[in-house]
Amino acid sequence: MSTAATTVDTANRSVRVEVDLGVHARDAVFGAAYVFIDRCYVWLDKAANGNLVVELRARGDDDSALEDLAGEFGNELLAQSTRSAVYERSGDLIQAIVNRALVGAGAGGGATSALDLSELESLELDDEPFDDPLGIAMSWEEKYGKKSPDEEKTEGSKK
Amino acid sequence: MSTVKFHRSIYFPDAVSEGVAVFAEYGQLRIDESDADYIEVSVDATDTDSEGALVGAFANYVLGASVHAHQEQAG
Repeated sequence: MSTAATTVDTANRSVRVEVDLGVHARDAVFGAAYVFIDRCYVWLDKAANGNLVVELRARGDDDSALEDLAGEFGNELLAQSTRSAVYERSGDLIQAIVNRALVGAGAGGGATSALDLSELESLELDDEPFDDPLGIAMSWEEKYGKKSPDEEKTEGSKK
Repeated sequence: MSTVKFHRSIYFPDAVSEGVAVFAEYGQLRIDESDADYIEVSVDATDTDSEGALVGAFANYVLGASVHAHQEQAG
């Protein structure tokens, strides 16, 4: 790997990865190291050339190959770098979408969440039918829809 | 006894102090701040067989606390 030089120390059961900070952001290295905390022991150090050195030491009960550990760390580092680059490029857009979604969901507080429902309480609702001579309250199906045979018979007898 | 070195440009001094306080019940941990580049911590575990694990767990703790501090600083 050109962006991260790896040295395996089998006696110490550890692997050292030197990360080129010209390629990977410092925060990405911190993020990747943080992910590996629960899998192995992790140390960070500064190399003489200014790069970051990551030392991963296998835990007592972990027999996973050191090369694999270094490879997986490299993958995680790449993922963190990519995420960081994407956020840097479109962070404002992501933030705007999240803000809009939160306001739409009523999490903005203020006017949208405090609806005045007092008018509903003053309405007098009863089950009594009301006059509807023009058939405004009827649905389209009731008014113009296809009639059932019984209804047609009833209408025919009226004529 | 083992010695762990934390580079000042990577690890936060408060994170190291916090780690020393948290792991004090498992052994004697002493901070040496005399070096300009590194904060050195000597670790003398109560259970000598598990000193390696203590040093590793302590280093992981300090790293985690430092990463959190970096994130907070970045806002």
